[in-house]
Amino acid sequence: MTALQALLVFVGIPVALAVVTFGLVSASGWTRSGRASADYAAGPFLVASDAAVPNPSIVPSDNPDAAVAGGGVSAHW
Amino acid sequence: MPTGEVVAGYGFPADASSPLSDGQRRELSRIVQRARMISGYCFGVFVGPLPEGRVSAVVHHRSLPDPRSAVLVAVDPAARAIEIVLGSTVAIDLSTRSCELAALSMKSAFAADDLVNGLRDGVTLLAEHARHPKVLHLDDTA
Repeated sequence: MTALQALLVFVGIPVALAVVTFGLVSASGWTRSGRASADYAAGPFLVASDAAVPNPSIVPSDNPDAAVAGGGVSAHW
Repeated sequence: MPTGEVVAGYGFPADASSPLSDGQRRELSRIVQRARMISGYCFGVFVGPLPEGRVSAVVHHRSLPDPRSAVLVAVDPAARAIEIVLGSTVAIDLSTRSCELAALSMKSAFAADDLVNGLRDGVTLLAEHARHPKVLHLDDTA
């Protein structure tokens, strides 16, 4: 084994593996789907389904001032 | 299957500046529509700034069709905040514990920078928990 071959085997291959590993780890941040913390201020959006199915077991409220929001939670990550 | 309706006044779907791809937008539309089919309630997803936190989320909730029978999942990625707002009718079937479970599910996905899948898991969980049991005669198709 020549000195050049030894250099390629013991330095070249580990360096190449390190580069490939770094690329695979960073790949998710390069794609759009991987960027959850991007600036959403430019394009806030609200998507909603069709209106709720009428439920005859619920008596509609006669008071228009009654609370619309009835619960829920807040959380941070 | 019909896709979700975009509420007027928001950038989706015409606003090309939104960081979500068309495929992700369509996926969110399918998610809310499927949740409505599961539970019968209206579901909405908001992604954007919530400057006043829960107050802002409640304002967005009021823009949904029939907000008393609607659920809004609002996410502010910049502030890393999640708000789940229930209409007063939905709150009968959906407990705070279920909302906490959905928020926990979404938090774990968001922490891994997986916004759409986190919303899918959270909204689906809420829809399954909000599904009310069938009532004899009332739920018959006649």
